[in-house]
Amino acid sequence: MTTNKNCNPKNFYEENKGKKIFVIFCLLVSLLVTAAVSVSLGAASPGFIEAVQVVLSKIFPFLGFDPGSKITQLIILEIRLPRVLLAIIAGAGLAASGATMQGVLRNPLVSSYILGISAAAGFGAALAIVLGIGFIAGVGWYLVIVNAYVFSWLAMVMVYGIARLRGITPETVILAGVAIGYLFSAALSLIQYVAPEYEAVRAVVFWLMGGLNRATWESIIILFPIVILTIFLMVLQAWNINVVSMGEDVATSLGVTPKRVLTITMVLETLATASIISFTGVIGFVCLISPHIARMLIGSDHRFLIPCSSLVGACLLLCSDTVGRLVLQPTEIPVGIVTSLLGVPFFLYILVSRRRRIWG
Amino acid sequence: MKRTTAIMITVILIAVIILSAFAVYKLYVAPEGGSSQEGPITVVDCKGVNVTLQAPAKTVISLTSGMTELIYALGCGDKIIGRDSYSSFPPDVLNKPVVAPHSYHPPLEQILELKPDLLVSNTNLVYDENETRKTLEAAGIAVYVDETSTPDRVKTCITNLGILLGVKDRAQEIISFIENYENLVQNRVKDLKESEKPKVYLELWDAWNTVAEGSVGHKLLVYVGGSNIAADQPMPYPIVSPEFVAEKNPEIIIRMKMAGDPDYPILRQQIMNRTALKEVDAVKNGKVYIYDPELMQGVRYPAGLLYWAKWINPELFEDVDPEAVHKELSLKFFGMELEGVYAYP
Amino acid sequence: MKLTINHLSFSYSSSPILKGIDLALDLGEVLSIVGPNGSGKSTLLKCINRILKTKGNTVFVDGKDINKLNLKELSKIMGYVPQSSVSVFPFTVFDIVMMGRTPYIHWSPSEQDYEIVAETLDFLGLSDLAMRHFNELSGGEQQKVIIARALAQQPKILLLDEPTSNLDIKHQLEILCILKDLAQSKHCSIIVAMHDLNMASRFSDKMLMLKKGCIFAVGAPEKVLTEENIEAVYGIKAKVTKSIMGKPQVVPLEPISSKEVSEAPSKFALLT
Repeated sequence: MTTNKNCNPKNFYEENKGKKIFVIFCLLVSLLVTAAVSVSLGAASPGFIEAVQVVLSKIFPFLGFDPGSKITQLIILEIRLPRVLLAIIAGAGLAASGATMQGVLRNPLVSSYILGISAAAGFGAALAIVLGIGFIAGVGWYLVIVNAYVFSWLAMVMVYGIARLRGITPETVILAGVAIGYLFSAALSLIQYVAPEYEAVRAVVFWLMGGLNRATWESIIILFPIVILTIFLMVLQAWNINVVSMGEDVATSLGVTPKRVLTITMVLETLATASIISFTGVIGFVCLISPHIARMLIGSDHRFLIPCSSLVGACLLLCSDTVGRLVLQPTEIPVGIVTSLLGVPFFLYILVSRRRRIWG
Repeated sequence: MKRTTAIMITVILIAVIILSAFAVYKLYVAPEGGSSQEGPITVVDCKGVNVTLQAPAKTVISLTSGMTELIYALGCGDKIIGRDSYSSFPPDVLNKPVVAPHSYHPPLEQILELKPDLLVSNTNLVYDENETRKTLEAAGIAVYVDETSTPDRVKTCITNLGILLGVKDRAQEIISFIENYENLVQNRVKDLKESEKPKVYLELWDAWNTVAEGSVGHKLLVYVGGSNIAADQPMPYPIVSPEFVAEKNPEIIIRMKMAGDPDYPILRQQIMNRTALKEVDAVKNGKVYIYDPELMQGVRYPAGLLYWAKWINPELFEDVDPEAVHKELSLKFFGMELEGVYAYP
Repeated sequence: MKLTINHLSFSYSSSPILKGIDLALDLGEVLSIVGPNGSGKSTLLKCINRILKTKGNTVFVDGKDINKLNLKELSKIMGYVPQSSVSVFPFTVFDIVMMGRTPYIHWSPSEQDYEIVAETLDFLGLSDLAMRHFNELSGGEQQKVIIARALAQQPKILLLDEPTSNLDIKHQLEILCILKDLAQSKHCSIIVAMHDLNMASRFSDKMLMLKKGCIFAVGAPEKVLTEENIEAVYGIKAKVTKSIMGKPQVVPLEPISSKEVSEAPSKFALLT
């Protein structure tokens, strides 16, 4: 074969890489457009123009934009904007975690909650909600957040501890995660059963359904750096994840310690997921489906997959939340339901229209 | 990766973070507390918060069916400009727009836009000390929170709402009505010795779900002179075993009728046919009663109280006609003829 | 790069798999490891490149104990081709071969890495397939890609675990020729675990015959592939002739019932 060394494979590769960057760029643009649209839509009347004016008048007060009435400001700045931002941050974080875990555990059916985190967080939240009863000046919402967060970590530590007994491999981690998940689920049910007040039980159920209607600037200030940091660190591990996804033996022979990669990614993943669901409750499905959509758009190289998955997740969650709060006003459809309703047909369409086999 | 690319990316990231921090700083609206200024009208709600108005509220949004009912009873139904999806009594309220599905984390945009003078709700609104109240108050909406599911607070609620809506006299009228019947019941049962109180099995929602100490149902049972067979159970809403009930041999069985249950006579027969219950006194003597939970709601609770009292100690309440009282309050407070069956038999 | 193995033993929990393996391999030599199923061929390979951990002072590369080397350093020296490779997620051929450069990559592949990958693909005749998805290739092509990946590591020692078991004759020949070429032109030492005795005899400089985790015979193919050895290790009667190439050729005759298989001590052929 007389192919030039510098020619075909490399050029194709560069071209491919260019395409991937283009895809990410498109996603970024779609995200911004979706965000702009979401901020402009709501049960109340302020629309795009008012939203832009309010935001600009706050950031650049000297430019003389009309800040609108107090009500308009409250609606845009206190209700819509935090919610849109939270959707983006949460979607990005969950999707990135999902992509990372799928790669490291070599399993396309895994979600960010594989370590039993969602059940543990639910249990922690229930504990706070139920124990918080009776204290008029109780610790309230902050206790719920902290509890959910702490218990998520507890689940991860337990999974890690169990996995260590048999070696830290995807099989042991997944099984341990499932077991711990069931453990906390059962404990959660027990709490709901013995709760002294019925209102507490209802509150727990609502928390578990997950939702973005608790978006506040505090939550964004806390979550944004955490999510950015963890996604960044995950991308740094991306090459190792690529290698580990080919198999343990192969990874070792290439100089990568699978155990170490798994441990690092587990920690990052827990940090991102636990932080997010402490504020939003358990939002399902985004973490499972975004990596798949991203993989179809951009391939399995995790250096591109993780950022792409984040953007897909952010778009997906933002769209779902916007649809969920507008379709049946003033009732809000829980965002997890909308994500499934929107995401699944889209996913099936892509699955059926492409003929390439997705998994080996 | 080349060094220049790496440096570029780091610089961009840092720039993004700094810009975002700046933007957030500028956009962040620290939620102010409610209007802390003193007003001529002030009440304290069940959370100990002062609720102030400059003048009696002209427009109200109610996010709880219990509150809606009280507002109508106070004759202020026309002041309601928005409700939650559960508010359905009296039927007139169905014409009002639904602004939120329920009071737990309600979507606020529409409420803010409607800008009522007053928003009333049950404690779900502030359940986890979230931002909802602060946001509403920042928009100039007074927020009154109270518990409507316990008869304890009903009277206070009525008084407070009366003040907030400027109908104190009417409020007093309702309270007198309620207290009249409360006293009637109390006077007749207060001298009952423990052994004289008939054993009652109260069933809510579903088979074998009952009440114990710490629950509202238990308190009411005791109040009307009954003895709850499940009083000592470890949790307020325990699920007990059929053998337990059979063993305790209740003299009276009272069951709450839920939306999905069959008609009263069929439901009653189903209960009486249960294997565990076939031999208990209540079934043998036909003392199995079904009631609609609406009877214990808000201002209608005197009727519920009387039904229970009469079922449990019929000898003490022979001259009392709960249905008549129900009809009376229906007309008096809601201007409605009583329709439908709420208790059986 | 001289590979020396000193008394290597390995067991999974309590069942011993390998006992007292001694071995020496010179630059550019092709060694094939043969033996029945379960004799420990794969295990031996995995012990050599530390996929499975052994005690110290067993495996030496140029005099250095591999346990003392950093895993990355080791992977610059040794390449490994597993028996089969499944890619759970879709990767292109180029991506997969690029993974071979992992030991040399810090953040991202450099110009040089791209060059080496392109070269390796060319060497194996895979340039046209570079952008295809691994899972869409045929078995033979996939195997070549995996070998390319190992080659991209620029190893001095290449370990292959039954690389030709599932391939047709043409691909078998192609791959073994490539390996031989590698040993001669790039002076890469090669250790191949194989089932096919005849292919092994034709392409190797040295053979190692394992029986139940111990070395039964080691040396040039002529010394190792004798009818007595084959009977003792495989439990079959065979005829060994000389092939056209001048190498021993095994023609299997019939299996022996288990009673007749002797526990005769191995006739240890000396190293040449």
